[in-house]
Amino acid sequence: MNLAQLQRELCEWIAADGMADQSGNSPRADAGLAVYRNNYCCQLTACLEETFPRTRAWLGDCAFHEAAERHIAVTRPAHWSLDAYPRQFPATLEKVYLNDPEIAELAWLESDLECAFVAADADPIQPGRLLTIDWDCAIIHFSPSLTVRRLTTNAPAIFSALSAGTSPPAVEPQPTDAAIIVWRQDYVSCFRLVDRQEADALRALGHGAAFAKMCAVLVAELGQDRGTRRAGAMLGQWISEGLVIDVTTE
Amino acid sequence: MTCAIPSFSGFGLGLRKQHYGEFLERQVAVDFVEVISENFMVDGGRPRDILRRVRERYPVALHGVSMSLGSADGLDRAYLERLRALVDEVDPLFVSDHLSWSRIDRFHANDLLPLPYTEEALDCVCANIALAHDVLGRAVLIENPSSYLAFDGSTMSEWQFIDAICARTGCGLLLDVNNVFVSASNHGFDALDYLAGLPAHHVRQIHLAGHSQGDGLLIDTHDQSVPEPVWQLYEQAIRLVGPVATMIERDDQIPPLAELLAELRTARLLASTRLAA
Repeated sequence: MNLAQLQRELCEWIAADGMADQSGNSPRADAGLAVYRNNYCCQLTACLEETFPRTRAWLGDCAFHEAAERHIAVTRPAHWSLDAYPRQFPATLEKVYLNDPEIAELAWLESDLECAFVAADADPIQPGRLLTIDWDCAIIHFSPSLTVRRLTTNAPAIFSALSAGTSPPAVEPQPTDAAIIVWRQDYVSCFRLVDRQEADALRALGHGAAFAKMCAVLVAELGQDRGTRRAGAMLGQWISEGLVIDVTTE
Repeated sequence: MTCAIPSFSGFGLGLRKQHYGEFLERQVAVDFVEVISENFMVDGGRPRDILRRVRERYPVALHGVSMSLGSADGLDRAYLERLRALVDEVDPLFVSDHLSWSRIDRFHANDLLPLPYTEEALDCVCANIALAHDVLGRAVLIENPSSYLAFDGSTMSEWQFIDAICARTGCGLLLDVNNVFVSASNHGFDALDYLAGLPAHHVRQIHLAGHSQGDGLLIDTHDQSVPEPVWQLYEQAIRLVGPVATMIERDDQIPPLAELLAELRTARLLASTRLAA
């Protein structure tokens, strides 16, 4: 057996709960293999516990660990950083708890906050820059920490209650097409609920659409006055929240 | 090949989250700190800011756990390039990782898995170290691992394997005294034979840590203070390698900083006594 074969076999043994052929191993070798297998499982479980404390509190220890065990059984780490491993856990929770969408949404929120915490640094745009911008052909650039995610439940309220150590509210559905944004201000990750119009605007601008195009969409939907006011209000809020890092022109 | 890495003979601690505030608010009595490289190989945010501020106050050594120097299918170049960016920013005393492997193909075990000590593995590790030196623009230190598994196919001892790596690549050695103690117990060799067989002139740094008793094996847990047998082995190591950077490594059950500094004072005392003898 060459080195690559040996390493593949050992990985298979570690990740597959010792299902590979163990015949011929000495008791001492089995004890050693068990240490590595135990390290693997404990490390991944600890990594999920550390990233999803509120999801764990909401689910309860037993259910959380059952879901973690299921996730670890089917999802092998594929990155040198353990920080990458938890990012797929909310997708597993979506499958496990099909009828309880607040669980995965709570986990997505925790995961997105973790990602924002270590996202690339970018200074908010200086207010003086705004005076010279030709808004008719402006392209807005957002903080690299920004994520926009669809929301169907009051998972953020549950998150906030669990963070504050207060009793979490009962699960409630959100208005259709609600969304949540997560980003980082200075060194603190934060989130805010947004409506469908703002989520659509953020997504379109994030994909490079011009600010004028966004205004046109809002005017078409709300009328000239309300559409223009809405566009201005959203832009003002994004700037005050440090979401806008640059504005260029087409 | 000789080791061109400059020596540094101070005493340091591993920088852990629980002690960030103290390291940043006052001048802690250490000559350097060691950080886990991967914790700071992120795009931005508070971790990078903390490292920048720590670096303004203390020399820093970068210690990695994910280079996977023993991977049969080579190193992850994207990982190396990200580490290079950190090296360029920090200008560390040392860049180190383990004589082990954690990845094959796309599977990352995120652990320090053992190698068979064969000519094939030697060629593989030496080629990987040469690539690391090339991408990082500097020589690395390799740390002797603690291990719980030995391979029947090994054709040389761990210290012979390390000696051959150092001779072929010019890398330095990070001698983990606790790992020698743990592996000697687990595999039944004499820790003093191990120390005597190492290329002492390649050692640039020493790790001291504690371990736990597992099911028939000692486990390198870093969750308790340095035990007496490891201190005794440290005295022997210092006698062989001379004054090199020494640090206490603690990763779990992190005590107050004062407790670690007291351990570090013990290391200073033992080293000065042994070196004066």
